[in-house]
Amino acid sequence: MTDRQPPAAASLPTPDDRRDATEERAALLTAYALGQLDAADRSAVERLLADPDARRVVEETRAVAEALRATRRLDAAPPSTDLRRAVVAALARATESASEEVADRPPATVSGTPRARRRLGWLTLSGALAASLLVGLVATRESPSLLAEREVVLPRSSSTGQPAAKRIAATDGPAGQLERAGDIAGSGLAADANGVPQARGGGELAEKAATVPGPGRRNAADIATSAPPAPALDLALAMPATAERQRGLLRDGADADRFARKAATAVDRLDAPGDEARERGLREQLGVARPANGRGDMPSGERYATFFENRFRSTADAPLSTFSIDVDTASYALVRRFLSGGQLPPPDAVRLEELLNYFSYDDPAPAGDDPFSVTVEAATCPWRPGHRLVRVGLRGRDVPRTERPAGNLVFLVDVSGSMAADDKLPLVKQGLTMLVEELDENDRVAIVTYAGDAGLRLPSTSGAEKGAILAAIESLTSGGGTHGSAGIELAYAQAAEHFVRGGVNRVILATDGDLNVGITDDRALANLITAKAAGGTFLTVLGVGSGNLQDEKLETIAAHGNGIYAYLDGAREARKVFVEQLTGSTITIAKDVKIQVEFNPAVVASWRQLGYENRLLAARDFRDDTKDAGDIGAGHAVTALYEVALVGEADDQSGGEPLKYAAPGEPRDRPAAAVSPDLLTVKLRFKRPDGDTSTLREVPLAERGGAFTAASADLRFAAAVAGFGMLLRDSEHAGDATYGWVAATASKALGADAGGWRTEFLDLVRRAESLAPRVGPPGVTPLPRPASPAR
Amino acid sequence: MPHGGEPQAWVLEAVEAYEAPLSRYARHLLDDFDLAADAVQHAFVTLCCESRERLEGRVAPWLFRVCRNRALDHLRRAGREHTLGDGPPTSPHADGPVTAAADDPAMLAERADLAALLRGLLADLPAAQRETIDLWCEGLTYRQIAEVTGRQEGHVRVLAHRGLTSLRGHPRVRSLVTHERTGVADASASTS
Repeated sequence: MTDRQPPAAASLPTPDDRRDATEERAALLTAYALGQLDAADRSAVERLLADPDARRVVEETRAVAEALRATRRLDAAPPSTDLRRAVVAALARATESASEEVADRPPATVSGTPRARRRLGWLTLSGALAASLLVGLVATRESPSLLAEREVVLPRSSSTGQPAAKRIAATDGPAGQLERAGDIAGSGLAADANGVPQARGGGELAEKAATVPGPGRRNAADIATSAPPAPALDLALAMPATAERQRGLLRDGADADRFARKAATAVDRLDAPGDEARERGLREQLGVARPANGRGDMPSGERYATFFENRFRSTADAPLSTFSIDVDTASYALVRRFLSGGQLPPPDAVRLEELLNYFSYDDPAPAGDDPFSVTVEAATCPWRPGHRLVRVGLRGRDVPRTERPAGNLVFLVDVSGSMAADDKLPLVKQGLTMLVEELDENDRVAIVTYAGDAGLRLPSTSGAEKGAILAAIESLTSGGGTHGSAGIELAYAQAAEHFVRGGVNRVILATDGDLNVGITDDRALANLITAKAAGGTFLTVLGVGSGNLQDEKLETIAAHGNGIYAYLDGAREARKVFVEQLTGSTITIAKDVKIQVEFNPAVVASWRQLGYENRLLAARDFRDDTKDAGDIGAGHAVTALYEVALVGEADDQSGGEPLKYAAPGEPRDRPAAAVSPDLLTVKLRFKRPDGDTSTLREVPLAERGGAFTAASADLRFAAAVAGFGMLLRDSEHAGDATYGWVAATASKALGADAGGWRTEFLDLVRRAESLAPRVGPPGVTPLPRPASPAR
Repeated sequence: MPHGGEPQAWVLEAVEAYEAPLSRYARHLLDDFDLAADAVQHAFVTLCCESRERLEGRVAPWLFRVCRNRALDHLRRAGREHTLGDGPPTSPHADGPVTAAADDPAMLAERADLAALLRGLLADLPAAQRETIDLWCEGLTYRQIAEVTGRQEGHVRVLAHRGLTSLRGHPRVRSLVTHERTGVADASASTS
């Protein structure tokens, strides 16, 4: 323990642990680079940075450390369902011994909704108590709108209790007391924007410890002079809890909602093992006995939120399908990236609505002053001939360049070291350069950087000054220090400074997943974005690169900001997004667009929406103008598909078992209106970009439609895309669809295809076909079927 | 509502927040997928019996510590506890292929991927250094790392320093990092 020598006598390694003062001083530099010093030590070290060598060491260390943090994402694995089940069972046991009154709770409080009860079906395995616990959790809170209409019921599997039971047995500890906690969250558990667990409490602890004299903390001066510290072993654990500030942080209604959503997500995941295909998927992704079927193995830390496809619903029980318009297209680019890399994408990266909306359709332009046109068409469902496929198409008004309102764009660009790869920052710069060509003197552009050499790179500049803008774009480089954390606030401040009333005010965030934009608290970030969107400044998110992409988070953020989320996987996509779409999405022609489709129970027995799982709204939110929804920009087109089983036709056995999912509804009186021959009515609510109240449009569909091959090219192409998505998802709803059918159908429905996008789709289908497993374990992967559905 | 309903929420939140970091950490310690899963599950199941108030604000280090102790139990049983010492790694690492790739200049050139290289080098660091860097990467502060590993904070600082210094000193890392920085300089020069 002679490592406390003063600096002058330094440099002789001590035999016991080979630490010396020189090394400890050098370690301070490393600690500085890793952001591990408090303010006092930091300024001490900063004085050393006058020495270029020291600065070089810090910079290199930072670069390496940043890359290291990126590598940990290479080790990501999907959430373990075993773990969640074990935890829920353990919680049940802990609570059982802690509180008898939970078990005694009257059934009325715990029965909840039928959905909640079904959701918890498997819990009977671990005893009724666990069930009552969770039902209480789910049912006694107001369900958030997204969940209210969502079906998450999956079949139960008798074998799924095994692994968890085994582990539980191995970890049988005393069931301690679970004390009542007044608030529900906020104990420093929030992950920061990178998904890095943010032990806020821990930070506080360290702060507090810094004020405590003694062995808990050593500052720079101590290193040279102080006596050796006592072992710090359990010091922090022995310290009193310090988190008064954190208590009560999350008491308001929004948080209750947020919490309920989280709990429901956890429970959804618990349901997951019931689904054999999904369980197998998880095993594959975990790398445990992964079959060689070429499925993308969740490269690195990319995260794709697990979701369950919409199921068939009985019209008698649920005549309304309500959802928010979604014009994101990121999923298609992700799928393309995987397929181009020789892998099938992970199923959860495949979002049908984003695939569908990647393409433009030839729906008629809106007439008169309408912001968009609505087209509804039906035909025989190609993958299940007993069913009908209904396409709903919206097309936004095109705004000629000359009528384009002035743009006020602020680019918020991630310049962290990880952005250096060719498919990241250089791609963003390329896209920006292309965008500049489209700007004129009415537009303004500013560039703010974050997560690297952060700051205002280009103050808001007129679009006419192309030279200055291009120079600023050219100067963007990744890496460097991580000072300044104003990031997003600076970007919004730039946007506010040059706010164009009636114009397009937009912050465009380009990142590979590092969301360290200056606000680490997810909720605060979401609140800021939502508030700014309410003030008229919207947010668009551009994801780039691979290995670090926080897909779900980026999508969520864009949704908060009324913006689109696009993924750039190459120069071609950059052109599409920056030139073709950003000019479109920069002009919002209708906002908070919600679609409600009302099915006529006299004609439609059951229905299923394809995709839009993350965009479902509760029926009551349709009329609630305070509920946010998506936007439509100039030139945007939005397509939604429904598969419906008609009354009478539903019994048609030619296409398999159409009634499999439609639980026979209880007999009920049909309202007189149901005598109408309409299949359905599409109802749209939207607001003008500057309006606060919504307008309602209704478009009924009376035609049942004929043969699929006689349908419009748009419907056929959309069906092909949907079939492709379902195949990639290993969807149980894919019916007769095969890659061969998808390719054949799409190739006959290319239309004008000005951009060549549909043709490119064909290429992807062929790639997927070559990668898809020919034969899988029985009952899991659908065996290849004869391609006969297009009839 | 009767109590017992809400308290579990924080545990579920902890699972969401810390499953991935803990799993990575445990896998690096144990080189065994199943044992790592067990250690992670042990940590969360133990958390279920904990009072939330008692752990307020320090759930992360607590979880890592419990997980680590469990992992050490496994290592002890297998006679491998010395693998957490300061010496060179004594067990073959699961990251073998990556390490092998790091020795293959052609592969490296092809990928030009600093992260992939580092991942391999990290596996070759002495276990204590690697553990320290792993925990830092998972977002823990030095102080929390000291808490988790039972080492002094100064020791943690030195371990992190040693680890990073040897990573930084690797010629290929150096050239990649230097290249990156030179690229920065060039680009700014060209526009000024």
